Amino acid sequence: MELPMAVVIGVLFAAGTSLILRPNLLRVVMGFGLYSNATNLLLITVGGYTRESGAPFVGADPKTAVGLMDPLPPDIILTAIVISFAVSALMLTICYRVYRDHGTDNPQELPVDDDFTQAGELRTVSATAYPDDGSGQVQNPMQLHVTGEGRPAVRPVPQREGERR
Amino acid sequence: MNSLILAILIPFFTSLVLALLNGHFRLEKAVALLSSLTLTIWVFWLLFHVDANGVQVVIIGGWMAPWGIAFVADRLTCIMLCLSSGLGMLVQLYSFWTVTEQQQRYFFYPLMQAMLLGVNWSFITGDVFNLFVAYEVMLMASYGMMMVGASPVQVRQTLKYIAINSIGSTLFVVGCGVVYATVGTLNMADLAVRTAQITGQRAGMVTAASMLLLLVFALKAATFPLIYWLPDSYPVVPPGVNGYFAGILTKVGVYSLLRVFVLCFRQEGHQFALDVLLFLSGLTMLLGVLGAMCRWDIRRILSWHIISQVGYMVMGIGLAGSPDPRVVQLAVAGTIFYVVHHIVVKSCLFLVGGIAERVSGSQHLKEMGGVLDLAPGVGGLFIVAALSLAGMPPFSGFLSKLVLAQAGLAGGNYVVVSVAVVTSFLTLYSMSKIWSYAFWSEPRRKMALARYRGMMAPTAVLVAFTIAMGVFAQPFLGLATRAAETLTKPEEYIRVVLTAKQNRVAELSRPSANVVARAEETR
Repeated sequence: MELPMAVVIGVLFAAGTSLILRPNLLRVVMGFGLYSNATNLLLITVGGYTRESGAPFVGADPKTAVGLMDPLPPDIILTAIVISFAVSALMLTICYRVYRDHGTDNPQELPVDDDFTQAGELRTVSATAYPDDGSGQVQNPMQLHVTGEGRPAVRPVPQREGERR
Repeated sequence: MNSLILAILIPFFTSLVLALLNGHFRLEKAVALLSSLTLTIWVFWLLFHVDANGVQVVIIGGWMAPWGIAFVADRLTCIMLCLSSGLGMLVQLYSFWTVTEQQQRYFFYPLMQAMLLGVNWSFITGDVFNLFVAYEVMLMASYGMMMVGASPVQVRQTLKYIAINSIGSTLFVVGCGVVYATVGTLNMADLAVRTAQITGQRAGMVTAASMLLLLVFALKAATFPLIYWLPDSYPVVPPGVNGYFAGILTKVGVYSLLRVFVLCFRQEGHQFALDVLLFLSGLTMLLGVLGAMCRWDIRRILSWHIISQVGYMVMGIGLAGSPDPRVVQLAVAGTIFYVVHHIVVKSCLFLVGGIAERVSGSQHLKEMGGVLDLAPGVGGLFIVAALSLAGMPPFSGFLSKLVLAQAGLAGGNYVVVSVAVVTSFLTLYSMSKIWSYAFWSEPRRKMALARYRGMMAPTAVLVAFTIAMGVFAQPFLGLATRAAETLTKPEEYIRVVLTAKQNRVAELSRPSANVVARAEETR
């Protein structure tokens, strides 16, 4: 049972890598989903899964434990599934946020944060953008973002012809 | 010692309570500070208790050590717990001045407590898979923390940070699976016992499996090839908390490397992993400091310096591959000492940088100008921390570098030691660049832009610590040496974990010998 499983795991990892390298945020998230599935299959295989051995404790002889796969890897898989589910949900949310902020889901079109002093949108105060009003208090530019001002409106996704995304 | 898990239960429940209190700004701050204070006092007591009475262990869930979940506190764990909790408290105190009510609405304090939970958990766990879960808790909290405020640049950088860490997590689970397949256990003490008996071809398999874990920890610690995510993502963290990120989060990776590769993997030829680390450490140091030298943004410069400093710690771990046990112990003790020094000094620099930014209204070195005139005390704090980072004599940086250099020379690794010395000089250059541009040059404004005196208190505590650690080094060095002894001679650790007292419940639910034997066979 190990050889077919190894092939499946390899294909899943390859497909996941290919998706992660695509210039499209949604596919990146899907790529991570494939990664987590491949990992879980790998853990099942590691646990000594064969055609004869079913789920742990089901249908096994309690005295000899014949027909029982190692019960620890399924435990690990359960935990890993829950975690990867949470991370995927968070990632999807953030991808949506990036799309709303920049109007694109192509990571290569996002601004390059080479030098934050030029970016002008970091929360810390830049001397030129927020001049000293003499009160000794720093105006917090973050509030602009919270109230919705200052956030760029959603741009329509630019149409690119003949480009595979 | 059932109370051991208080180190993670306190932040866990505080985080829940704080999440419910969202919106009650003052109450939230009070609860957060009180809980962190309790936690800090508790872990310092634990440090003294463990130092006097040896390794403590608590086993959760009624299954005994090789199968169940073990929480273990040895000296290294306690040192790290003290640093993480103490720094967490100082950072929250500092945040009272920097974090606005708007930012606090984004669950700032609950996330901070959740991060403490994850970090403390990863220090205290005695099981490799549990370490993965702790990592995930810590990472989830740090994603949230990076997003506090959710400005576009933060969202962009968080996306990158999540992506790189998700790859790391995938590799971590794969690594766990492969180690479980080759060694048959994930409990750290049991790993140490079993791998010590593995020789020949199987030892090669175990080494290969361990390399996956090495990749994950090296990614987390920001070791050379895997460094480029750090200087992009750390500068967007709110000031104050970036001190915690800089001090603790990468050091969790260093701690894991130390724990797993010095304690757990002892198969024939396990030195290979350490040799790889030694090779990478030189490159990490040099590239980190070169990256810092060509930047003009204070947060970026300090972020690149994290990488360069991680190189020193990884060098210490790499030196532990030496065949001479005395060199090994010196190297591990030096690494632990360096970790303590680095956590304190690095987060201190980030906190001072945060004050300087607020005072001058910019984070670009050429625009900051004359912070020394606007806020003389801040300049004093910075110069001590900066000289300590570069390794000047009266402060802790000098001694920690000295111990590592001694270990390197005793092991005959002249190349990496000379790289370390060169890096130290370049660090001094980079620090003097910050000093002369941001602190010395003509002031650009007449008065400080913001009140800053309150923020100096937590920073001053860290500065005092680095001076104390340099001047009264012996107690710290003694503790580091004893901690190193527990790691390099793991007999005590193994005995305590594997013979933990079994209570009645555990006796009843223990798997029959047959099941275990069968599970062994299947493998």
